[in-house]
Amino acid sequence: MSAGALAFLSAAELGRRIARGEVSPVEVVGELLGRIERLDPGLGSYLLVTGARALDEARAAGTEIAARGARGPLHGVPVALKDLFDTAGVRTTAGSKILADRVPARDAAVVERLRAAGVVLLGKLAMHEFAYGTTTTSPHRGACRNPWDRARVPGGSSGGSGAALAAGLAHLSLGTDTGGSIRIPASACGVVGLKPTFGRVSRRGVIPLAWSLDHVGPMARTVEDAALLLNAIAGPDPEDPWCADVPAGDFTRDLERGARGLTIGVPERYFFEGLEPDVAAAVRAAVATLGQEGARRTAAEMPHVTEAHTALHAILAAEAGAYHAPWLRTRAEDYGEDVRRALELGHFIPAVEYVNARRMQQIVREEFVAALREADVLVAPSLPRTPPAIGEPMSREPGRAWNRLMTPANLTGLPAISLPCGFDRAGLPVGLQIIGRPFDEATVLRAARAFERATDWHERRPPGTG
Amino acid sequence: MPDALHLTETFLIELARTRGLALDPARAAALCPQVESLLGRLARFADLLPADTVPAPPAPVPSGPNSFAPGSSAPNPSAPGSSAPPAPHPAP
Repeated sequence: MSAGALAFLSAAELGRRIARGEVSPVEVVGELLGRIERLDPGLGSYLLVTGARALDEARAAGTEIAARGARGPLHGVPVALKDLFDTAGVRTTAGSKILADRVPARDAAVVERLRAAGVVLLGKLAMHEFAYGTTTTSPHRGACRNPWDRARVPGGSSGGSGAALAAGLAHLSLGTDTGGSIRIPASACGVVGLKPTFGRVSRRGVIPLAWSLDHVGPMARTVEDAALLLNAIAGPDPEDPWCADVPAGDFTRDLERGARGLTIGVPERYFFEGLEPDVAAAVRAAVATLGQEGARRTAAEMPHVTEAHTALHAILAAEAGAYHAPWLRTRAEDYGEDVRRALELGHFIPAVEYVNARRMQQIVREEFVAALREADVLVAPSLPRTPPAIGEPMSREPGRAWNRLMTPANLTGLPAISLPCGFDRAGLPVGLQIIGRPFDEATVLRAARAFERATDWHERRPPGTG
Repeated sequence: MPDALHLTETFLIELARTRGLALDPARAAALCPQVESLLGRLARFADLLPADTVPAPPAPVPSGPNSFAPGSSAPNPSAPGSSAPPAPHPAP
């Protein structure tokens, strides 16, 4: 097998080979640890590699599979986690100085579920400090770099997840998404990121950014892998009071049904305004591809979508400001400047404005749900531009913010995926965003898989990662 | 439409102090335009929101034929106790 062949197998295919005894988990983990040692110094995607522990887990998985067969499709498959998920006995810092030495006693709910599925934990991944930013450039640890161009950011806040997946340093990852933090790095790094419906996945044991907007979701290199990972983590959790009591089902069930019979809504206003030309061209080509695959196209109009970014900004800033207030009073100098300023801003939002932002949230949600009565999914760009250079100033203003096309799905709580749909003339990935009905991740994944099956963008690899 | 907002650095510093936050003049000067911009945009909501608009519940309500597993009972969009956010974690 050629160099990197195991590393770039899909998790689904790797799991099948492990279950059949063709590949051992130890062999896979060994290859990935070697790649991390060789490639990650130039990327900075890992904050912590749990190599010895991963090999122990891989040996145990191999022994169990040989004796009793695989528990399921992810048994023995390596996973790396954004450093926001509590891992018992393994340092969890949220990419911060404030929690630099924190070692949780208990796994997050989703980590418990992944362990039950038999995955092997490879380590903890770089992220924007406390998940409050979109670059994954850290004042404490330096920049995480985009594998497609190491002078550029991988996006954020789950930037380490995007970079590690793109570079073949992990097969699967979990991210969190409060204002785009799964889908931004997925788009910027040319991988797949799914933000499920709000309440679909437990946040217990996940360090919060904004309670009413935080989502946990899968990141992977293929749509099928994202669906398998969602299968492992989704479902009710009485320990997260905002986790919905909605059965999860099998998210792989409809993957291969294709685009025929689907109606895709195209929201020209807002989502297709102010795009880089190469981004616009790639996404319009993707819409055409879905049409060629049999989807019917319709217009979609959500009049108040222009207010979504401001409403989200206010809710996020106020909730994050409230959570961080004790540290902001006593350890303000330990935050990075951008995060500190964003947290301070939250303290100047009057309660009436917070409530009005929550009322605007309801209007925007109703408009999206109404549009999704006419369409099965909405299709739009993930980001208005390809990833910026490290150090380039980033605006949080609605007209210029890099994540402005992401925030409506956070505000509405609707499921949304980003998957690769092309490259700009500099060779940087472009992402296609597909937004679905509440708790209908299955149709979002079906549409995404129909596009993926018709194209080969997801098979491209960054230079120097072979 | 409300008048345009003009905050002074002194006002922000004093307001921050009431919340136990130390804000020096340079930080206040950098924050002022950001606070003005956000509050200015939020002020427009008062004109855009119909009086009967209620704040959004935490989770959207399941809709559509494929929103949950076949044969499941009618879903409850949020678990009992949904009025309370999850316990802060870790405690600052």
